Amino acid sequence: MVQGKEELVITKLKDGTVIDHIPAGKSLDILNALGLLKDKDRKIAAIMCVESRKLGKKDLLKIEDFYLESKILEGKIAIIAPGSNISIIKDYSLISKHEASISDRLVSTLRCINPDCISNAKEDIKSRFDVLSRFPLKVRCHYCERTFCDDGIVVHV
Amino acid sequence: MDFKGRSIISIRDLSVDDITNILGTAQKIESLTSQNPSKTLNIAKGKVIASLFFEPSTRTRLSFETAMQMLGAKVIGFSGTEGTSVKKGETLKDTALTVAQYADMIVMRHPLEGSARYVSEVAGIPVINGGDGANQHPTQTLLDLYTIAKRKGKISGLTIAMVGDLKYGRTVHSLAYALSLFDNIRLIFVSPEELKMPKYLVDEISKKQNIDIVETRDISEEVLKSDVIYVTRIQKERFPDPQEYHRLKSAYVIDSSMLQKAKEDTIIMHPLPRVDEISTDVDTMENAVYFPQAGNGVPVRMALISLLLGCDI
Repeated sequence: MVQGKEELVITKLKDGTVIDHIPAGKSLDILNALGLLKDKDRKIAAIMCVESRKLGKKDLLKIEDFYLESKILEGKIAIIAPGSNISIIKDYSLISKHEASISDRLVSTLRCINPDCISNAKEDIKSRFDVLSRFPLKVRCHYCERTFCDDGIVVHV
Repeated sequence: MDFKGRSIISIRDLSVDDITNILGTAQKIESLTSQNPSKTLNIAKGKVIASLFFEPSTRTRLSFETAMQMLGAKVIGFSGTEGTSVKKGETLKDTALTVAQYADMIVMRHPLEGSARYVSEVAGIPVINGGDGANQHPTQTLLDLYTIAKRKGKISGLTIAMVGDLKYGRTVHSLAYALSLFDNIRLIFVSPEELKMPKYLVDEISKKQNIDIVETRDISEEVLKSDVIYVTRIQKERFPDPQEYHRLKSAYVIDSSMLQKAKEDTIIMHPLPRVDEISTDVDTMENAVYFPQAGNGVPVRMALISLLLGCDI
């Protein structure tokens, strides 16, 4: 619902997760990485390219009846949208709020872009990456030992 | 650190103490076998080792299997996947779990990078990586280090020149990394611009303490005065233009006349197979150690197998 010229108001979330301070244009990538783009039964408010004091422009997601508590999913968000905040809401109350962070080892979070890596073979195998640096993000595949940064870092979808 | 039950997958898994321990054990084993007319030790008698070579190998497989036999272990396995369940579409995990029912250890070579790491995580028995695609070949690095230590009496404090294809050669990548763990090492990387040592690796090892790195395109007098000259093959398939390949290839050939400028005790190493990059007139020189280097694969692999199996030496 639009109120006036400058303000965009979305109904308060009763139960679920709010992801705020998403760099503008990244919210759909997050929904894709969380596997929610194809979830036709879930109510999601995606607010895109709104004014932000911190970022200039930002995106914001409100996802109903979805509690983002998995470190794997949080790692994906931290990689796609560094600096994002995750708030868990229950019965209109804020239960927890923290910045999305990346653990030292990322399991099932990224996909190795090396086609000759065993993690891309038809095996029962979870991708694993060691985080070498966070700013800028640089990771090493646990299996093929290749180091990746920038475009070489691909989130598992 | 106790090696029993561990796997040897990547040179990155080993500390300087681990490497020193392995090289010391190899030296002890070489001394024991040379004193024994049968050349065998039989300390792994009753053990079964699976030699799983999913792709061809000459030196690595033969020297591993020689090492296994000299330790008195039984050897099972295959060379090439023809006639195996792999051809029927069996996963690597299932192959590993099946072999682990028969063997006490797996030695493997596989074209996919990270395959040995994966098998070590699922098989439940020690695994030695005999080469996983373009990634790691830790036993080659260990036998290179053993050759250097044996010939020079030390590793720390040496100047090592690496010549040829430094971009694609996993051997030089692992060796450069391993050498960077030692003190006061000077590394001279000699290659054409197109085949330089990858930047990420140069950056990584530059961060180590007491290491000096020089990158050059020419086999200069400084290169020839190194303690070790480690030569690698420039592969034709890396060049779209055959003329460019021939021009570069000829610029990185070591011959006996060139080595007149080398130190008397400079050693020439090569992981083999050699094509043209070391002239055959070098073979009879005292400096040439590449064939004994291949031979050193046996005591080093014997040391690794016995350490991982917990054999009493």
